[in-house]
Amino acid sequence: MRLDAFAGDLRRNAIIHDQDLFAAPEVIATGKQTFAPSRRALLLELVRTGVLGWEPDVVDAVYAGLDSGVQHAFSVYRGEPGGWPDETPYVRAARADIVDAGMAPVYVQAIADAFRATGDPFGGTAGEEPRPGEVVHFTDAATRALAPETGAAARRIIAQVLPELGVLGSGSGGYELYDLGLWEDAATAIRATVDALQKLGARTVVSESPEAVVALTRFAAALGIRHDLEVCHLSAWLVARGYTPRGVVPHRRATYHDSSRLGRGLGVYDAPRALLAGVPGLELVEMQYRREEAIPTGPALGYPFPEAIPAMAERRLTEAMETGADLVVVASPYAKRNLRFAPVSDPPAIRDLLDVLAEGQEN
Amino acid sequence: MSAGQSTMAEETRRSLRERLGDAVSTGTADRVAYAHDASPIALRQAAAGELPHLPAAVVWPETPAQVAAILRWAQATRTPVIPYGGGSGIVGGALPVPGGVVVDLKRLNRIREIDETSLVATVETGINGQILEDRLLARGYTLGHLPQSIRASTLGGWIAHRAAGVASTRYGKIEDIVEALEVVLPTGEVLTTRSVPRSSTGPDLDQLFLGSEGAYGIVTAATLAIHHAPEAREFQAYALPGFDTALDAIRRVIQRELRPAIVRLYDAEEAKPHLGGLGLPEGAVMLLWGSEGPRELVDFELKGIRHICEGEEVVDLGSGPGERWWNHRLSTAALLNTLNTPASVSDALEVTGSWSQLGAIYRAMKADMLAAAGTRGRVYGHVSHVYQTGANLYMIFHATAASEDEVPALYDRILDAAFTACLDRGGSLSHHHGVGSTKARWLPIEHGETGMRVLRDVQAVLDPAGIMNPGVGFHGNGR
Repeated sequence: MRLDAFAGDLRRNAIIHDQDLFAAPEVIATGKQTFAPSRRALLLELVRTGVLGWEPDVVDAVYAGLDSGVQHAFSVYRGEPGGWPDETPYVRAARADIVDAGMAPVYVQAIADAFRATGDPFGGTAGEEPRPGEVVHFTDAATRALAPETGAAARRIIAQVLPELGVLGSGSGGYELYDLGLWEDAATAIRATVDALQKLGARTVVSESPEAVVALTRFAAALGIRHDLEVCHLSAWLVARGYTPRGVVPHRRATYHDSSRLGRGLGVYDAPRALLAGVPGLELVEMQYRREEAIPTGPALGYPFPEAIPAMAERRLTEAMETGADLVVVASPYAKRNLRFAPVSDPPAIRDLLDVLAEGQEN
Repeated sequence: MSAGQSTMAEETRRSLRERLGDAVSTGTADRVAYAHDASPIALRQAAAGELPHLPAAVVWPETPAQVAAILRWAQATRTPVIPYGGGSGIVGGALPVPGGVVVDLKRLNRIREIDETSLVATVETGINGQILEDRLLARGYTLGHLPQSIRASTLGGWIAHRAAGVASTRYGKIEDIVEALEVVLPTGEVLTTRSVPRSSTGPDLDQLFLGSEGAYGIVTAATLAIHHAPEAREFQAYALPGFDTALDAIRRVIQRELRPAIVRLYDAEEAKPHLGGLGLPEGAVMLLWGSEGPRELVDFELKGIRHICEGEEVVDLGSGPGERWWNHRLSTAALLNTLNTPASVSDALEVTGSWSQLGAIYRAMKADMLAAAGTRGRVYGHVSHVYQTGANLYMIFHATAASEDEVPALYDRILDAAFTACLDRGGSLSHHHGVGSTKARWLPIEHGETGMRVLRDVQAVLDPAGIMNPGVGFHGNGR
């Protein structure tokens, strides 16, 4: 079992008493202690030692984890001697063990089936025709499925900076597949995307999807897939290229939500803020929990309890609204989708960073 | 551990589903997850895969009416009920019994109303403490109840155990903060008290339920006094030559009617990491003050504290130790690191006593706990909640047994030494963690036969079937 490599971490986390339970949105939204990191560690340790098997509700508890790293970011034990491990690596290993054991739940198997049939975990179709270039804009499957307008906005912004831009709007970065334990499929997806990018002559790949950047860098390395592509999030690339936002937007005060993958995952906190700060007439205000401590808006793909998403989103959107912002800016197609589920009255506008920049540019 | 679903569990599930729909589980994962709380022995056993009892079912009611339906059914079927909040209690107050149903209240988590004129908030008790405080802070208020467990524990847990926060000397303990309660009695009736600052209409019904640890019913909502968020917060720390000298300094500050939010006195052993390198004599202790509120009040309090504390043998440590403590105040890593060590156990026992007895209680507890812990034991302590008439003592121990099997007996010996030393000198065995199942066997010593009978008679009236959180508090002699 892959979990065997994490025996010490499981034991250590099984004994924490969730001093930071409030930073486990899956517990707060569902009310279930079962989804606390300590309980997940205990269940996994019991499976690892043969006391329990991969029973359906144990599997659900494993997939209920958001893999956001947020509780680890808040952990009061993190700086202590010996540290306290982030659960994300062993949760992903457990999911891969579940898949290997042929116990993938239906909500995961459906994604595997969609990917195997279409090359896209969402079962979607390819977007724009590919176009060669040294810099290629990759629009990942999640953006195509959940926020195609953001992919289009990104394209318009990049075109202002680099008209000879390459384009890849098909395939999958593989983030969702790896995260759900479908590691063979993830490797297939990453290899196919890397091959496609290389055929287009790409040396640099930019994407508005932090998930794609994580997958093409971190997950590729974890799966032993080597490539020499430079992959970066569009916000960092735009700042590095000296992009200056133009035009005004119909909002006066914005707050920025740090996505788990872009923030805690890739360490990109400043570039989106720098871009927003440059939008004429737009005041940037901060939420209480931001940067490394940003509370997630909800899950990515393949979550076993979609009915919990509105409560997770409501909590984050409430925090955003408490800043007095009339615009909430995100940098992930999942954050955009999740926040729109929040059952709040008179919500502020919810836009991706690229939507905002494009809107300004066009005004 | 018996993880399989029994026939009884299936019947329970069917009955509960009729009342609660999908908010019922008899699945293995849920039953395992609710098989322990954060009490040291239960935690160690769980991490080792030893879960003595799994609940028959877990339920997540969303309304007081659903809580009432569960309790009516439980009363009729004589099914034990274990109310559950954040699972952060360390006295075994939320451990399942065979056949019992865990009622997790975390879905009862709404802020019903904030009255900004009267400065009260009516809140459902499953709300997480930090989330409640965050929502209040966003509107410029604070509850002022800031326990070390705030990010894990719930309002309901605070009420069940008569909790205290680190700033309690200014804002009061939970029993001072609660203005009114909504309680579902074990029979399913709902009791709602009035939100008024005080009344003279018989004994205070709210206080009957504060600290009842689930035995008298399930509190589903509370109206709480709130405060304007503090304008200023400042710290001041001193090193003093000895524990008794520092106790005396605290007493004089408090009896001069000053009420700084934070008062913490660390004994020589606990203070050592903070005082190293200062060249202080052996036995030096650290006294830490924190004042918060309006700017003028903070200035006034700190001036009064300096006037009383500063003297020849006192070293001014400035604000640094207080600021460092504030930034790390939620960590319980020292205790957990010991629990993660083979054959080892640790705990923090929070007792209380009057000023005239406190020094003697401290010395006796420390000596007797050390003797019980053996040569590989450590005992140290601090004061963190103070009153005009006395204070609490947090006595912390770490000990290692000869083998894993001997850990529970070692733990019990240390607790017995600690509580006997405290109770013999007129103290109380719990200041704010509650009794739970861990301390239940010493409770009759504190209350006496008559006191226990009163508590049990009240329960017998409220809970005729005796189903509410059995084995906890005054319900029995632990589990």
